[in-house]
Amino acid sequence: MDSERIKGLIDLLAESDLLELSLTEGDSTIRLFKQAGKVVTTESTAEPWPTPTADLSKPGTLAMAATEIRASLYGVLHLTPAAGEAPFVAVGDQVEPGQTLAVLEAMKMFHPVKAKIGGRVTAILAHSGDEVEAGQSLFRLD
Amino acid sequence: MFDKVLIANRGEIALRIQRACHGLGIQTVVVHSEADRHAQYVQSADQALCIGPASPGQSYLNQTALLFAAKVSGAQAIHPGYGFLSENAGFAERIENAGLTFIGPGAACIRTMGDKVAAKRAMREAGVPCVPGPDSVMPTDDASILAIAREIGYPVIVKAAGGGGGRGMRVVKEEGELLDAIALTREEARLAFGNPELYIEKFLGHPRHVEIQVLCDAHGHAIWLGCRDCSLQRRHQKVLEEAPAPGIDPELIARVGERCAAACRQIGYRGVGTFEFLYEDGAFFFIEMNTRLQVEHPVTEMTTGIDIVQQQLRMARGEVLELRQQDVQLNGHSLECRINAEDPITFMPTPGLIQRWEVPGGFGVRVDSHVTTGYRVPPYYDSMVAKVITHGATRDEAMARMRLALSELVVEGISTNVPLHRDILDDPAFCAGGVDIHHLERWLQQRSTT
Repeated sequence: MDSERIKGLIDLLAESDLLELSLTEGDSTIRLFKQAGKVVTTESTAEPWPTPTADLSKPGTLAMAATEIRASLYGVLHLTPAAGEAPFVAVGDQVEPGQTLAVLEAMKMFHPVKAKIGGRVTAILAHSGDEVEAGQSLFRLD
Repeated sequence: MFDKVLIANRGEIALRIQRACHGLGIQTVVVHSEADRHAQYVQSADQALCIGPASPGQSYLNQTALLFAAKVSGAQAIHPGYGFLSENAGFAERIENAGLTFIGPGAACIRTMGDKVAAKRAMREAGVPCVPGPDSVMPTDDASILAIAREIGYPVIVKAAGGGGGRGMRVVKEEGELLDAIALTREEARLAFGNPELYIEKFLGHPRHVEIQVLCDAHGHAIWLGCRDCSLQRRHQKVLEEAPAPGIDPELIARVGERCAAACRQIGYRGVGTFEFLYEDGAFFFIEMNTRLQVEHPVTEMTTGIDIVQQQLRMARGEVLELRQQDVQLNGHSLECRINAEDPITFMPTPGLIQRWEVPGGFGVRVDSHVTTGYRVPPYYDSMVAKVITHGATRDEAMARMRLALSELVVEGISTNVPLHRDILDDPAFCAGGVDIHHLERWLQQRSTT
């Protein structure tokens, strides 16, 4: 993706009500999100998720280098191991690397969504039962 | 006699059944979940009704919703397709009790065949060859169990009476492992099937999966429509099927086929069904009967020229079977490749938007699929998106046509297992014919280590 294209996307996001924008073209993915009125970009190439977000903006514009855990495939999100059970994790929980945060159901198969690194869960970005796209952010970790 | 059928299924088989109905001048009611609302086959139904949310438990498995849909639409019969409620005796019973026709055998037959021990007993009584081992539920005392296994001879396989389709079984190589294996399998069976009953059989080391298609009316007539070889399997899921099974003496198959037809007459079977066998060292061993239409029925249609789904509908209407055994002429060879939305290397499912879909064509090529360009493969159901079927005068010709057909198939937007099928069609062992049920797994294992 060339810089003109990225600049165009930044403008697009800045002018909209959206807080976040992800775009995948071929093997490169760009993800933009707004924080305190500013636009922050992250870009990765090949095997983009789950990936820690690289802070490409000037120091200070981002409060934290947060890690987002994303869906590895298009499927149905389950935040609990089974109906009626307690969720795998809640906001505020400290999680270990490799810990299961959720499962994705696709075509009668279940795929665990794991924390790539340890940290504290600061946000759960989708609901149980939601259809989530490949690459969609599911959790934010500090 | 019905003239309006409710199709209680989805995807390619819903379309297949719809075509058979329209061919007979029967109207169709297609029920669908919210996730399938926009599929082309739903639009082409005479009537379409949404029966619930995407999750199968709330839609395609919701018996009350299905019966209600039949009532409001005026459908007098329900076709269950395969999977979902197709082998649910209670559902068949509810349909009959509501004064409607279940397109399949009677509930009693489904129930007998669903209990693998009862099925084995019924087949042995009808003279169908079975896997060595008792046709009764396993005794509870250890000494008797050990004695049975010793008489069969190790290795043995412990199976759940309520299991089937490769689920609820464990292979035991020596006596020391038997009792632990039984305890584990019993617990799994209790949880998975709600039935802890087990039975024990000889374990065959290198069998092929060969099955016989039958067709029966409600007036005591039954014929068999040749055999299929479904040995290419991964995790007990069939990948590529063919008819007939290569390299098996047709006279032996005819003897087994006659036994199957006789068993159908004996148990009062109605409609279409399949007897599944293991075939090893020149002998057939019955494993289970599927009391429904099967995914791989087209290869039999191609080699017999008989529209199995139309016949199934006609039998359910109460017609007398016009075909006699001598009318069934097997012609050439047919292959079917199941095209799945999955990664050809990792087998991870790949639901999503199909941006371009071009199907192959030409002489001896058939594609059964509900997919169109712009179709979004939902993540809620199984991963099969199409069946590519070819026919040729010989097996080599059918294979050559399949290679060509697969090269013409264009799927953009999602990955499919087409590359796997192309590799299989280049595998010398498969091309020679007659590989066993472990061949594909071994081949995949080898591929992953090199």
